[in-house]
Amino acid sequence: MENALLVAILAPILGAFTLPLLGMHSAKARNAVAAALLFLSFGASLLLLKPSLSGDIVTVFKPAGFGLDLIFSADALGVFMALAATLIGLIVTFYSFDYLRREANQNEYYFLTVLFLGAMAGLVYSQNLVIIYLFWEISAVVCWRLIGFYREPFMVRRADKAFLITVGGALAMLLGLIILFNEYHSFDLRVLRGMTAPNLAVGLIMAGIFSKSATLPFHTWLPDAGVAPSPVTALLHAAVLVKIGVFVFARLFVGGLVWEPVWDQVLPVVIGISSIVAGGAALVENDLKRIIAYSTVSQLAFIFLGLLMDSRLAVAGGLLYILTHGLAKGGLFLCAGIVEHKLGAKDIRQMGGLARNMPITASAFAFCALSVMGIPPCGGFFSKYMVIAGAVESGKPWLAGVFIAGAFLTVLYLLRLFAKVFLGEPKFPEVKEGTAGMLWAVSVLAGLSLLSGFLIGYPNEFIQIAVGRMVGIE
Amino acid sequence: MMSQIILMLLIIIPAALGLSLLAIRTRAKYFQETLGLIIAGYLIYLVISIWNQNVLVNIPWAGFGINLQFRFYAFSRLIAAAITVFTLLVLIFSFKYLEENPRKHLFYALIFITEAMALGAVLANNLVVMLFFWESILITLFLMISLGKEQKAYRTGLKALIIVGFSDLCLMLGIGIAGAQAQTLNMSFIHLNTAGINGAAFVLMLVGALAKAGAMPFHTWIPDAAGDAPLPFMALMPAAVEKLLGIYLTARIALDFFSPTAGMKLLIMTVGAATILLAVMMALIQKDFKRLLSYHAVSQVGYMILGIGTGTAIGVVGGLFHLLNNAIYKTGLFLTAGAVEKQTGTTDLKRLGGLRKRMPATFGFFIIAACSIAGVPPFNGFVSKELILEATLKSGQAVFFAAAALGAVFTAASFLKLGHAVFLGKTPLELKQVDEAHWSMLLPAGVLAGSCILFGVWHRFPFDYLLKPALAFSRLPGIGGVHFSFGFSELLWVTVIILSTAFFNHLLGVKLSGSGLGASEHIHQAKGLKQLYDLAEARFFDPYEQGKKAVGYLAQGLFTVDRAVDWFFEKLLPWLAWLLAATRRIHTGLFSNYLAWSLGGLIFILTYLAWFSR
Repeated sequence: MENALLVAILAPILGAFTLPLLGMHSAKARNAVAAALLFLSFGASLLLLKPSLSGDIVTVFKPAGFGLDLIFSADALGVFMALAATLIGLIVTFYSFDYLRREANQNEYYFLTVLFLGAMAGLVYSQNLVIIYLFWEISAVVCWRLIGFYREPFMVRRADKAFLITVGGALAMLLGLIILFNEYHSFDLRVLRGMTAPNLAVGLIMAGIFSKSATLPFHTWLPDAGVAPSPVTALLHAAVLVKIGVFVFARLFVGGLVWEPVWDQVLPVVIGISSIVAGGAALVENDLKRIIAYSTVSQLAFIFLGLLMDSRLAVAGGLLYILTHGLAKGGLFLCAGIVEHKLGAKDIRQMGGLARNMPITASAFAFCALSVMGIPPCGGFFSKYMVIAGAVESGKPWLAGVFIAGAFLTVLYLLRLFAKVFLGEPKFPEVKEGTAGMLWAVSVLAGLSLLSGFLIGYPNEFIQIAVGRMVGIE
Repeated sequence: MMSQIILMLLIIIPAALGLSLLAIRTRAKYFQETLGLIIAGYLIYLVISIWNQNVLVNIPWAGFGINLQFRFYAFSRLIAAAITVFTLLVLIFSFKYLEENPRKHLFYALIFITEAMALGAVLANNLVVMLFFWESILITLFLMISLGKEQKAYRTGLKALIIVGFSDLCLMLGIGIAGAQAQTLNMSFIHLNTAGINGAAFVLMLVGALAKAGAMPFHTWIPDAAGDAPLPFMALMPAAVEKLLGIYLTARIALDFFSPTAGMKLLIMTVGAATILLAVMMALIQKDFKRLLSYHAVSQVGYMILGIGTGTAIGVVGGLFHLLNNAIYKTGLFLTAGAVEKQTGTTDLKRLGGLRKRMPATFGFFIIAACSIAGVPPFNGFVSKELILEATLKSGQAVFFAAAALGAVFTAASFLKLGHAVFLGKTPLELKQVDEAHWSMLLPAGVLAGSCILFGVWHRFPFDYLLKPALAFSRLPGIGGVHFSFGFSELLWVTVIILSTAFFNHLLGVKLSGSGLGASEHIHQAKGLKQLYDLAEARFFDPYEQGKKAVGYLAQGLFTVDRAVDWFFEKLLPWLAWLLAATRRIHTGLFSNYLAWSLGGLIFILTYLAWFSR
């Protein structure tokens, strides 16, 4: 079982380096191997599912001294995140086969995405804070390179912006981690459990987490990152990379480190403002992908809300939100990619009536949007309800009210987006649907968004166990 | 066990049928129609087959107390039965009405999916499960409205989606609070007071329930939908199914989940009275058959809310009876409007007239349904309205009695005008060749007209077999003792006054304007009212339009905040670059410079150490 854990992390990381070499000879072989590596990682995490549920947690320990020991353990939270990330990663990779067919630098693209998903697996399984930081920074480099994928000067500048903000935050976080180390002489999360973190450390770590998970005031790099190819936006800037911040938050603070009560007052205000401001901005923007990116900022605040609350219902809702939002938002970006690809336009004011030309894209978009809005029968309904009800349960009904307002803004901007792009007068009568591969990818994501509502029992059962372990109740 | 399976089938069968109708593309004539007819009938049979049983279902689902709990009992069975019956009737009507519509199979599919969701919402015994089905209806609501003829119909669909979506979010928060306060989501065990935070839960849940029922100020999409949505949608949803759901939940909230204080009851009654009066005033001046009816669909719900708001046995029985009666006559009226539209191609009252001879059966059914809504004895609407009037009188709130009575006057007046304009008077030239509607369109309207008489004359049957058992959950004293008899009580005289006022007002209006259509013009053009009417017609009072503006400004403001944050980071980058350039300038390559820096550093370190090792 230890081997499965290592395969889940190392197969994509090491395998990624072979992809450019393969790609020089055959694009097909490279694509096949890329998919195979991700599948291998997914399968390995799937093998770890059962032990993680039964409490017989698989751990790999390689001592290195100076607090830098390699500690990987496949607990329920880690397995949950790894499965969600690799699953969405697989779907997005299949989509990219068609989407990027004619682009330059494909070797680089597959190398970086597979490397990123490997780093993600390493991050979610790691119990050592410095190792977490290491993978965190790998993902930042990948993100920087991929935003500038098309190499236009303004895109490169935006890539720099994203890199500087997230890495600046990460360095602050590293300082925070060092403060923690000075206090408790360990980077091992299992040792740090239950310890009180100094205020300065919490502040610095939260700066890192908020900059990675694009929360106000460190969020503006995310809408700008929309210049990346759509599959990149879907994978990194909606489904997986931006979840690193919330995930580390869950690892560190939910049932882990303890903080002074003041943070219980400050952080809800920050995320509340973030959710509302981003929702408002999404209502004003006219760029297809920027709107969806602002929506991501707004929805990330909901995840934070769930994880912040002192309620198992809320924490479970937050984790479920990571899954449902990843599926749905990934789907939205991929649909946006199809639209952009076919129209060559970004401004939604130029679009209209596309539901007639692209019925499959339109319905996939609709179901993903419904899930983000939290309208049943999509899975997003449950995550939204659990987060809101959890906030009420932990004695913060006013905060729940603020997020209901945020949810209403979500309904408004997504409906506006859908109506402007897909309904009304057809403005591009000749446009055709995307290729079969892309349509399959978006349909699968839309279908999973829908099924995650009806079959909510499966993810929730798992999450219930994960939350129980996190907060220390079996 | 069998009955539990039947209960689940009530939701699964229509959902499965709806989904398969979406998928099936057949050219076989009447295939979908036949299948739909059989299934819709079978669902009614299923409800009846477990009629006398109390059925509980509990299937684990999402954890955290969210289980698939369903309960079939006297109240939910009544609403469920009504939903299945109205679905069947509207379905039969749609066959002919939608005959030439290329997207009719989509509409049939949506009808059944809606039926499944509505049955799920009504049978659910768990708040979150109820919300799940309840909110799912948003999707079918939007799609059904968007199937209208005009390409812009989707805009009205969006309006409905946004208004009802807002209220559903309120309901979600309310359920969150109620669930946390009651420590359970099982609807059988939620009994709260309305003190403190519970009061917020009460109001929020009520917003969700009342908005579904179409009460003010959440009604404004309904008149718009009357113009844009396909008519069977109007006959099914705003007239029947949404009312049934909304009032069902209102009754549960006000009588079961919470025990509202006098102030809260006053709030409910005020919403009811305002809904009655404002909507009926709007109905009075409408010049389109469907739009006029749609305002009445709003107005009548005010009576139900008023009745339930009194919190007395008479009022509650009256309100619930009015719910059934309204669904019967309002759906009937919409179906006659549909018949007229199908045969003449218009619902514009200016282009209609004299259809009495051309469409006698439609005319007959219209008269019966119109008499019911106007409260003419012995039709069903009379009975329930009398009960509500009596309840307001007995609760000692003369204002609400006056509002209900005044509302009744205008209701009667607007139906005199409507009937006059459509069926009496001169026949326009282009309507000379009009025939009676197809029998499949007349049949549902006839059944409903017949029910208007049955429920009025033999009101004891619904009283004893439907309403009183259904209201057992409320534990109100005196439910069993509520009765009604046709006799010369004071209230009968009130009705006589109401109806004669309406009648003489109509005569006056016709005399002043010279036509049936203009019978309400003297009120429309009255000093002071005209300006209000103009503003209302320009949607000045529409919270949706005003809200749209407000949200627009708010969003602009929020966007400015976002841009300000971005400006800061954008400025930060050049500044960082400048800083880097500055440090580069220090590296001049001169050995003496580096030496000076090193010396300076050494002195600093030594001072630092000396300071701290004192």
